[in-house]
Amino acid sequence: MIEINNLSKTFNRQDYVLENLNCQIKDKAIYGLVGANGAGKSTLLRIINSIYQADTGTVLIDGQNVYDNESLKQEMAFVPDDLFFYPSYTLMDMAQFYKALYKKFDMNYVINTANVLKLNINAKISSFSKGMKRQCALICALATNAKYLFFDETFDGLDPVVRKYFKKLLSEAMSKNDTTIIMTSHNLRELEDICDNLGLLYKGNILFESDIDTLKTNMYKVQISLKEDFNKKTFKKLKILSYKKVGSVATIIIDENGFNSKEYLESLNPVILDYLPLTLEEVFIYQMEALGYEFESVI
Amino acid sequence: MNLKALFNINYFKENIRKSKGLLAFLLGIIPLLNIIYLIILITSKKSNLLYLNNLSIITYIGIIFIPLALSITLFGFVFKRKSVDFIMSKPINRKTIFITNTIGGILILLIFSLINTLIFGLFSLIFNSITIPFALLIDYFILWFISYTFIFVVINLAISLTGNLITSLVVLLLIVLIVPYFNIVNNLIEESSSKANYVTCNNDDCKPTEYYCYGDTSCEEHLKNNEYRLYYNEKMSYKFIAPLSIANEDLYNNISIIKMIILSIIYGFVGYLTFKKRKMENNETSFKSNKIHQLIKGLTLIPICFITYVIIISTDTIGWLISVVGIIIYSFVYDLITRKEITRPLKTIIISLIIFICFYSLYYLKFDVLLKDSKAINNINSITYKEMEITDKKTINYILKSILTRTSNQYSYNDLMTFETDNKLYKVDASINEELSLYLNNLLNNWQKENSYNFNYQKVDYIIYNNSSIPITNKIKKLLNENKNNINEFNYSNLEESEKIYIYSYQNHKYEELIIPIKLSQELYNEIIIYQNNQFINLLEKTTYKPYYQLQPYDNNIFTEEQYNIFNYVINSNKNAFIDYLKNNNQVTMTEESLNVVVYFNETYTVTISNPEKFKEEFLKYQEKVKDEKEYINLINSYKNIESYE
Repeated sequence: MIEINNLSKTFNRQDYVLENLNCQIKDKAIYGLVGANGAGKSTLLRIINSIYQADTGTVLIDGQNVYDNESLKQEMAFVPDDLFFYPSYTLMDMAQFYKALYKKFDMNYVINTANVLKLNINAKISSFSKGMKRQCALICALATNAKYLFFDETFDGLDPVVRKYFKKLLSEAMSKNDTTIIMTSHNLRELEDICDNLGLLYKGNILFESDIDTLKTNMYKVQISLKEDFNKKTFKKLKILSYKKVGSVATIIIDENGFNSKEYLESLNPVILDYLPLTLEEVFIYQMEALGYEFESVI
Repeated sequence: MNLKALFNINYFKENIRKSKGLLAFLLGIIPLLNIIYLIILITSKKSNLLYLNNLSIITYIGIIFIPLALSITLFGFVFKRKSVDFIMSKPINRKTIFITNTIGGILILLIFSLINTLIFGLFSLIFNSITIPFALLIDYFILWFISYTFIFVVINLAISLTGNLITSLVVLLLIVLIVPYFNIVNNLIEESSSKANYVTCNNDDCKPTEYYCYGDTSCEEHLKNNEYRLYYNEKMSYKFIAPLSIANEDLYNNISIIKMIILSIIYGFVGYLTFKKRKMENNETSFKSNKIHQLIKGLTLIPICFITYVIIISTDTIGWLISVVGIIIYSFVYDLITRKEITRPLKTIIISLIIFICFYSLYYLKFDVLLKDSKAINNINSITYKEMEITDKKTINYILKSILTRTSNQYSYNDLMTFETDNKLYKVDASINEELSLYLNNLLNNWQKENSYNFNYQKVDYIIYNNSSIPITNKIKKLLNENKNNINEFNYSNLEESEKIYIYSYQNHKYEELIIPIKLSQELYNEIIIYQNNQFINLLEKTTYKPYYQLQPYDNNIFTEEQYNIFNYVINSNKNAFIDYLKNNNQVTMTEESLNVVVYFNETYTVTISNPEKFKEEFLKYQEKVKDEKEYINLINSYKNIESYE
């Protein structure tokens, strides 16, 4: 388990990139970290991977402090947003570099995966496209067989087919090594398919976090119309996150939180009652609105 | 202690592998240039006794850029965020990264230094024309391995402290060059001043017998305190990092080596602590803190302000304007290069100008205020004259008395001496009169004899006679050792150049030079002369060129002026007969008269011919053979014309 306690980091002693951040990420899960540009996602990943040192607070993995912890880092692999490869190195060379440092590194995995993806392991990485470079970085990270994988802007530059393939590889890694994956992305739809949990980072802190199933099963978008005139107060028994009425039809976002809204709304004999699925993006927007944040300023 | 935790060989191998081409080039270029340098020496066909300075010519070039390239290869990742992410996220901690890279780098420099030393050693073994004593090779290895390691460690520290390459280079240069810089400036100040200094003499043993101030009030004031005028410059003894001082006289000195070792350990430790605490987000800029940035920029102004000082004193008002504008421009350019931005320009200008005024004032104080004060030396502990160190108080006083005495009608010449007091060295331009000259020559004579007597001839590295080298054999060593008691029979001052053999031995990190009379024993004389004669004959037999023969000036009037002039032509025309004569008359006796014939053929080759009168007869035969040749006649005529003109 990853435990982040009271973590703070500033780059200029004035403006905090992360401020008293607390978070727990359970094992064998894929945790999606979302947030606006400059929210501190990359900084958080760099602190977890002990690239940067936190000003205050700790990051514990399996109860051990991660900072400069060589043995713990054997179980961690990080793929940053801005990739680095040594000049004139091939994928094979990079894999050898990883192999020199990671005890459980699987060279066959690199060769086989590169084969599937039709990557020439002996070609210079500098001649690869942006997407191919990311494939190389992801292959090397997965081949470490690390228990914790950290991906910053994971699928940036990958085409849909390759993206789907890597999602499959991540699932395999999870089932094979009980891997915990933390990934950041701007694309909520992308995370929706793969993540178990989501955390929203805003101004250096986790604004809220939840598992995706709960988010999706608790919130509904309902279109309703009643015979007689109605307004928001008519539905006072419900926890309404958003209410919009156009003509005689109202669109309501409901956070059920254990309450059976359908039964209640049917008892009002509606003319129209439609339950529509919410995308993760919509879930976030309405949650944020409910918390009083202007969505545009967050995501 | 787990060694793997300190030195991760896999990480080091990978780190080297990524830059193997560049490293091979950089580490190979110096040995390669050394080989080329040695080949040039060999092809010159001269016999070469190599000094540490000779061996170091090429190695000197790499003193900054080789350790810098190595350091950048190993630690350069800290300058880019991408590479920081890549390396620092890997399962290796900061301590291991620093120690692995530092020890690994030092190992590479060790191999590099060994390769260079081996190259010199092999060339010395294979080619007779190159002489490099083993002790010199060891000194070369120690000096350059430690110097390169020192610079490497300092660069590692500079990289740990800074956020980009250019700033780390600035920090490196400040750390390693600031002391040599002050040394050079101090020597410059001393040497540029031609003022009179003084020496204190409180007892009659050193007081001059005649001394005049010629109305100079300052001189009269000093005289009241028993201070007498003496022309000298203070010689700042430089023993910080010898290889970094351009003006350094002895490249190898133990103090410098020890200082470099101690400083390497200190800087290495500070570098380690700095690296462990380094904020890895500090990259692509000079320093995280603007105050440190300003401080370092301020330090770089020290040499810049010296230039402005020179401009101001030589141009006056316009110099101030040029300097102020120059400092402001420099300040902005420095910010742009190291930080890629100019923040708070007004503050930057003010800080730079304050620093400029401070440093300018310091230079002004040093050059124009302190320089005006003449100094007086007290307590001279030793005087060094032509490498002879005199420590006897009575002798020192006698020399001083003689130097200080001003007698207008006496012949004298000036020569350099070094005076050493408790903590300083002074280069004295001493006026030496005839009496002192005789006295010093006598001292030198005795000193040389004593040195020759006490010398361990088993340690001879190189022998020169008549400008060419003589191979060192056990026989020669034995002869020198067995006959060293005869040295007392010779007066060194009267020895002709052709009567001296020069012996070199590399001891205590420098060559000791001894002069030994060749006529120390008949056997030694034979050994050396016959070797040289054979060399001469071999050269004549093998060469297809026409060498230039010269009969050495000979004072018994056996040969005429005309014969000296036609000597080359006559011998060249009778080369084979001359060779035969030399072969048949190769026996020399040191008690008999002899003469020398020299040819210049890249190197000087000398033949010693016994019985000059017999050779004269032989020469007349040669002359007879060519007397009708047109060229000979022309030569004789042209000589006669010159003679009649004179």
